[in-house]
Amino acid sequence: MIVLGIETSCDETAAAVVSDDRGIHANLVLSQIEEHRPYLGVVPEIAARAHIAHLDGLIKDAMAAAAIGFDALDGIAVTSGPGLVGGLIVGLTTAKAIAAVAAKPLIAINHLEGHALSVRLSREIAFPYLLLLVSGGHCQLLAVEGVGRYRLYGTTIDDAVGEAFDKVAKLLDIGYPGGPAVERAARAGDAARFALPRPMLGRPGADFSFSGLKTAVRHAYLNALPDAAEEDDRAALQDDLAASFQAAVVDALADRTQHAIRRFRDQHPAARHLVIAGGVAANQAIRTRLAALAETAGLELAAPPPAFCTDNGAMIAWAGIERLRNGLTDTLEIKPRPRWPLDPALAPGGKARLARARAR
Amino acid sequence: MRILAVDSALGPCSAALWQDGRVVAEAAAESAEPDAVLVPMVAAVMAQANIAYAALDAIAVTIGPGSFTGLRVGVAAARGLSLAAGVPAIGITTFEALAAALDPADIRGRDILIAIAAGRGDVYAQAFGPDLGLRGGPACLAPADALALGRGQRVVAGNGVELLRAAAPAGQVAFLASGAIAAGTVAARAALRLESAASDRVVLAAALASPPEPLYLRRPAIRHVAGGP
Repeated sequence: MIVLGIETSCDETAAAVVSDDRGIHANLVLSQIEEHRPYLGVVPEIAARAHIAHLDGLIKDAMAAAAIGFDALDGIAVTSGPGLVGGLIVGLTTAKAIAAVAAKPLIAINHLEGHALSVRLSREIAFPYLLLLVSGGHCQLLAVEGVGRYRLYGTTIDDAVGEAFDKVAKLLDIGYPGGPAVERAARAGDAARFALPRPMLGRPGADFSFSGLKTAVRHAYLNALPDAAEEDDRAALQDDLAASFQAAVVDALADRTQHAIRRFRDQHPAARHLVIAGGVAANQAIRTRLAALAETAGLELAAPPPAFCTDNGAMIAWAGIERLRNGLTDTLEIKPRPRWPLDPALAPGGKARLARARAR
Repeated sequence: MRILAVDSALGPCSAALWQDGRVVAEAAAESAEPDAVLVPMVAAVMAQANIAYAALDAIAVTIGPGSFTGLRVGVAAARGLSLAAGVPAIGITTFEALAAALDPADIRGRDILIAIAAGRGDVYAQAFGPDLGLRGGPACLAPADALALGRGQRVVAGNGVELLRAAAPAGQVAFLASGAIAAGTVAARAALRLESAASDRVVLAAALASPPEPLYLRRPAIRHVAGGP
């Protein structure tokens, strides 16, 4: 079984060809970082225009690298949400056109499901597992019970964790994208210099909040800035605040994950893995702490290689394979879903449903 | 010559199969959901005509200006079809598709001014001679400035007609109510372009080398930065 995967939900245009024996025959990612850099964030219209300019060429290159024709595919998998609608439209429409011509099944993939299953692309990890999904747009703890079976334990009530990294990097003026920039600065900094809040620490449940932490970083920065007129002091301030912020994030993620582990253990006593996925999963400080946390709980931390943590087409192709094996395909009539929760109990949205889902 | 054409530039969607000088299958919808309907419409037209995608000579698409979403659906569909079928894609502007759809009896030797509502009170505008020869490049303009395009007596068409009527001095221009595009017209224009270029291999190769790009005529609005402050 061999599937083409297409990803255009944010600022990366990606196409990959993957087979069910975990063969990655092509995995091309075209980053738009330079297009968005002047704005220090992703501009939706710029993203949409870049996707349509490059997607078909990238697919052509991926098929050439895999040395197969569209006839040889078993399906075309494409991210159809959640994400920025302009890019989703480009990816989904392109995938539909290819599916129509090649007369192959279309498989609409939830981007979060791509991340959730991506660890299984590298190695055999049995269901169920506990997933911490951390990226620029998402921050969730989920029980992954099977393909299409996800139970939400907690999510962010304001910013995603990657968003917090980006905003702090922007405030400190240390570069874009923010995740790697903060991690780099933090390595040289003193995490004990600023006592920042640990949002939600000790609170019941597994929800996250990063908005207050971000504001605390802003206040700490503005308070300390007048005393940092010299360039060296300024650099030290940036590094120390980045380190203090990252330490607060690590503590918050660990606390929330610990709560989720307890619940997950009750529901799935025989389960063996804590999985971390999404772009922020590339952060080494977060990985190290979660590995220790997992070990204490008798679980093993599993994470996709860094190249499969950030957005890519291979994880979409792999999710397509997993769905195709389960007979799950879609029609050419489907529309993109810019908002699309992974836990089906949350699909129509609403706070009451969310509360009920968390109580399960 | 066989050409499959798609259009979703201005709201309604249509698909048509053009074969040997006429439309042999077509479908259209007054849809606000091109992302849902356009590709199924293509599949229906191809099934109706019972022609394989690989037997096409080209895919044609209206590239704009128009709704950004509509343009992206149309162009992504055309480029995806082109890639998978291994046949070239050709872009036709919304201006050309609207001008070509006019009845010569309405034009009567006058210049044609196409005006498309661009939002914020502006129009996307381009002028043509009576034989559809270009009278300069397209632009996004205030209605009063758009009325300066073209020469002498003109007929104005497109869904921006009312915006120009409000800005026009009486008697200088004739207004037509046309605003609709049919994919059949798009196919006919693409056929014309292929036929006229066919005698010159270099021109033909150049015309087919670069895939159609949406013609936005507006820079991206930096309204909201995702993940920004």
